Amino acid sequence: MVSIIEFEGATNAALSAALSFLSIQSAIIRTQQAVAESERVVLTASAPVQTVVKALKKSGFGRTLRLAFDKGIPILACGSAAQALVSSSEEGHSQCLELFSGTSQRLRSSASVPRLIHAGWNSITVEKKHPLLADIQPSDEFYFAHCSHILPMESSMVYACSEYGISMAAVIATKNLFATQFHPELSGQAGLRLLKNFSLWKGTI
Amino acid sequence: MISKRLIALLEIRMGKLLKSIRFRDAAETTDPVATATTLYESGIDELIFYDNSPSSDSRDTMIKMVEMVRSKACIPLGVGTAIRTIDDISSLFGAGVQKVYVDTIAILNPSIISEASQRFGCHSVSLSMDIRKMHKSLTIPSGYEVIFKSSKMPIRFDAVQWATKCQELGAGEVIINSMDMTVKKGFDIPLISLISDAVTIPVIAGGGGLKEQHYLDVFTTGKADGAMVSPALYSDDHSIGELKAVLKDNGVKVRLNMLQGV
Repeated sequence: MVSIIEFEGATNAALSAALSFLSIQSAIIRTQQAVAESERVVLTASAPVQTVVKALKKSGFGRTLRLAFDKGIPILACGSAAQALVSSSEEGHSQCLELFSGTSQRLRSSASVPRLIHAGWNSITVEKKHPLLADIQPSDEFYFAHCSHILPMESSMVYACSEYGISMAAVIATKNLFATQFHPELSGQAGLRLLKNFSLWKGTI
Repeated sequence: MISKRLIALLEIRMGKLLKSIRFRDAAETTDPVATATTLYESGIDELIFYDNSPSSDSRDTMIKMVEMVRSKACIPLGVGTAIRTIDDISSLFGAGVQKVYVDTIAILNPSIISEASQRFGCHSVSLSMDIRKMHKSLTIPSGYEVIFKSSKMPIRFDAVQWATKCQELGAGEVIINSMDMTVKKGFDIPLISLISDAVTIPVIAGGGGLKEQHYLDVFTTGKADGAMVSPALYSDDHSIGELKAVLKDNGVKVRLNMLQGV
């Protein structure tokens, strides 16, 4: 059973649909207690990271997610929900949820980055093996839609990168947390394979 | 490297396709859900449903349709329909839409773009522009004017200025529809290239072309990030896969490997 966290700014319809397409049982959860009792948890958003951080803090999910992480519950965070889990963000210069050390930084304009929104399908380069990336092929592409990206403090947490003028972290993982800059729920067959892997993951690398 | 996107726009009237479509080895259909599913399976990168219904209460029909498509197609979906308030946008996002297409609302209520971008993300609002070539003037310095079909207001905007203005407001993409071109002629490459250079948000070439060369031109010389594919290139005996293969062979990066199973 996959628990999908509902909060202001969450975009859960595609996620629910993708899981049900895979015949994976899921439930939308709205309380802190439901998070604590979950077998595995997923959260996704495309709203600005500050909007997501504020919404998660307001509803108390920030603290609950920390507890769930410490307890070893597998967590998948996608898009700006992944960015909300870093320690701080350039947008609004504020504190995020601090599940891992790093910052969320805006894309900067340069000759190689003509568009300040990374929107569309991009390939990922797997840097380190991970159960969730087990059957991802080099030709697989994932759907991204964001204007800031994650800079983790430790490069050892980067499991896959994407190239968009600069090389950016596409997957960050530590212990039982798997965070993607892209949206697996919108990434066709490749995204569905990743979601299926998550539904079977025990939270160990 | 990011791939160039191929987008299908389906015009909807009262829950059905405005124009019927026939895929290879299939019967003609006006069913938007079946059409969207076929397009998803054949490798389209994004789907847009454009509401052409005469009634303004068609949004509920659209929402039901999107929910059905959402359960079959694991790709981004966009909707162009009557939008008056942020709640209208919110109900579409709740149904599984990733972006909304706006045109006249950007003049009537520009703050809705900023609000939506703050609430749903930097890529949630696409500005759709119908553009006509004009003589260059003080009002229209680029020589391209935005046409507001549904608006009765006598407004004249320069296309480049309007695109940059909406980008400042928070539009996350711009769709360029040239009124001077037809599917047969392809895309207005100088116009698309001009706007591509002027903005820092993704640029989508609307309208579509009939030949593979049209798409090669729009992605190379036009510098577009995505293009709408005309039904002529994905229906009857043609397919999205074939168009993508030609683009790839000519050095344009596109998403392939769509059919590998889960």
